[in-house]
Amino acid sequence: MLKKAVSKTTNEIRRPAVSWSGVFSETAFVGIALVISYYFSQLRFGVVGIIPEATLELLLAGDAHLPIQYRALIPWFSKIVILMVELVATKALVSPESVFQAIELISSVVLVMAFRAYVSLFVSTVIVARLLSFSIFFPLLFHYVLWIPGYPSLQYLQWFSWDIPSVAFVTMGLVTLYKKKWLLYYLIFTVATFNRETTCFLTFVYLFSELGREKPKVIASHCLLQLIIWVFVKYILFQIYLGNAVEGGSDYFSQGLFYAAEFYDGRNLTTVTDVRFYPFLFGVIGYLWIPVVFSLRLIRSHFVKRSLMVALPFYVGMFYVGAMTELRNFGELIPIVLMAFLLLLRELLKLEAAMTGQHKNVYNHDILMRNN
Amino acid sequence: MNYKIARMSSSPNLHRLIVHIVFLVVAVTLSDFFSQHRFSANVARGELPTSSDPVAFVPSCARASGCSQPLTHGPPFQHGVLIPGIVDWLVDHAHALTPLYGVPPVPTFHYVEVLSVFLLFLTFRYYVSQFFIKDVTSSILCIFLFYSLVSLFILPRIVPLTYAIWFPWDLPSITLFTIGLLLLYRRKLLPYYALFVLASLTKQTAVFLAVIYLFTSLGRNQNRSVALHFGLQIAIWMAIIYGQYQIGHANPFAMDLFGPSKLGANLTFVSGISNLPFLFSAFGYLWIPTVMFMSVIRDSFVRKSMFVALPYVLAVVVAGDVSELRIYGELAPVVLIAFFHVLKELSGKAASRNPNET
Repeated sequence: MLKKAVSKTTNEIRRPAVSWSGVFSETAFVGIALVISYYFSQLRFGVVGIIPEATLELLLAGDAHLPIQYRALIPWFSKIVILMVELVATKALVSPESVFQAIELISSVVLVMAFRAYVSLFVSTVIVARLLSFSIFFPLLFHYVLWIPGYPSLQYLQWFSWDIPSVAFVTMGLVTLYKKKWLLYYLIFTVATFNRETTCFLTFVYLFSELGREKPKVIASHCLLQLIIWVFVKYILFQIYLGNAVEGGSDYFSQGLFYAAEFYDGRNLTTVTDVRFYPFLFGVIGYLWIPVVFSLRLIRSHFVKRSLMVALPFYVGMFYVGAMTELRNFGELIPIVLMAFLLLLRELLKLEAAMTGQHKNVYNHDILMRNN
Repeated sequence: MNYKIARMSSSPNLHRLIVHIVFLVVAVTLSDFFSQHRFSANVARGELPTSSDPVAFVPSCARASGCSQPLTHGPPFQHGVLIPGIVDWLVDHAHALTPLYGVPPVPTFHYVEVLSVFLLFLTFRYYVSQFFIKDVTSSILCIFLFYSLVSLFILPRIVPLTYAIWFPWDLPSITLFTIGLLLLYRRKLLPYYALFVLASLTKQTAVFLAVIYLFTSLGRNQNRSVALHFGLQIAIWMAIIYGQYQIGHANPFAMDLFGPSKLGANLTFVSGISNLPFLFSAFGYLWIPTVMFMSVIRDSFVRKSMFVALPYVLAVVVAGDVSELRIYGELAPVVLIAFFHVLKELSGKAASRNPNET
């Protein structure tokens, strides 16, 4: 019975991708991804709040406060969808909310697909790669659904349209960076920068992962090109929304590129020095960074290991421009750290499988041998 | 790879000590995180769901501060007497420790919850370590228990917005169930019976430990011995439930011994396709791959104990509310250990086919 079950699974793995079972398992994968994404989107719209300065109507009209309006890609795309629907159907049938919800749902599914593509670069077995790719939803909950600490109690998280797409874009960027598909990478990089400026950290990933492996001249030219694109996109957005009001009602250009309220009024410093916040601050990536930090040696992929270094400039940047308690600010780190965790987990499980295989005779039920 | 393992275990005692310390610190952190969210995002029975303000929450307990009068539940809720009883005892006797103000009930429930989750992590890791040799593996796998708890007890149903209901016995019950599972696995029947009594006093779902005993013992032990033990457990369970019914049947909210059947409402809920993504989210959806790949699980105890899900879910459909995911909490250690076995077997197969994966 056991032999039969195991050999059946192995055969499924070895079948060519175009077989019926391949189509069936791919359909099952997409179906499960849709189901989980649907519930995740429901959670996002059900228990996460929208701030008055960035309502859907303001975003569509281009009148939301800065820097929120700079994350323009999804509002632009939503506007195009609404216009197209109005062209096809004479009456406006879709509400802005339903369009944003649909985009969020599609973004979540795309994110799972992109993450599976990323996992597949390191895990050759299709079934295992599929299984592991669903784990992306666990850290997403901590960054984009669960409440954040506030005064005097926990508070609703804020919803922003670019949040989930930005994680998806970063994941696609990682895949193309790893494969060195430069044309596709630069296309994703440019589009993603219109969604959120954190794409600059993809450049850091490239820099860290290639240092010592690629010629300095090549690295420098790619970094420079990405910097030029990033500044160009930011300048376009700056010109388009020059007259918009600024979040908090202050002119943040007088204090630098961003008005870093949480930095200047000391909230971030208070947060990181108050031990009561630690259970929440440590919840970044669903606490998965902890085993990753302690077991770095078990991660064999150079790219995955080096890409983790981006967390340093990311945190330094966010300490200045973001609120430390808002874990959604760190969402782009999810695919980077999660991938490291999955590789670590796989190494440990392979080791366990090998060790229990050595003790097959006592494996069933009563294995109490401890070898560590 | 072998080189790395050798390096890692060059000082095995120090390495194990570090793993234990890190695990304990992280477990305390997770317990606190979970409890704070649960007390913020749950509503209490007797209170209206506060969808507009989920933090406005008054815990339901025997004598919660802020309640205008003592709230004493009737059956079936009075069946979970153990934890409220402990809290009441602490409140009554805490003057020795804090002579001025005593210990208010709500923080005490909070601390009991934190302690329960922490003990659950410890117990669960020990249970996982029965099957996984390295401490670091069993420690890391415990994170999936945390995710399961979040999906069962914190995340709400969205349409209509329905927050999970808080009960004081929910987490202690899972902890006791996990200890029971461990004792069953180790076949330590004497402490198991003591545990079974405590678990039955906490929540009536302890009866499913007896079902697990039955499933995992049939074909392994003599049928007469199995029947004897199973019958004894059922007798103990019924005596406890009946005793609690006799004590609490006159209380406010008293129902029949097991409450009215919700079969019709449950079937309506399950037939609504839009409810399924929420319903399936139990255990963070991890039950899906577990069921799909159950055939690869080699350990007979783990595989057979999974079958307890059938009578459990059936009982929920008939007597419980299928839309309350917290009800399935006791299945978490059963499902998760099976999931870990699936992961291990699939990873082992993949490794044997392609040992050079990066």
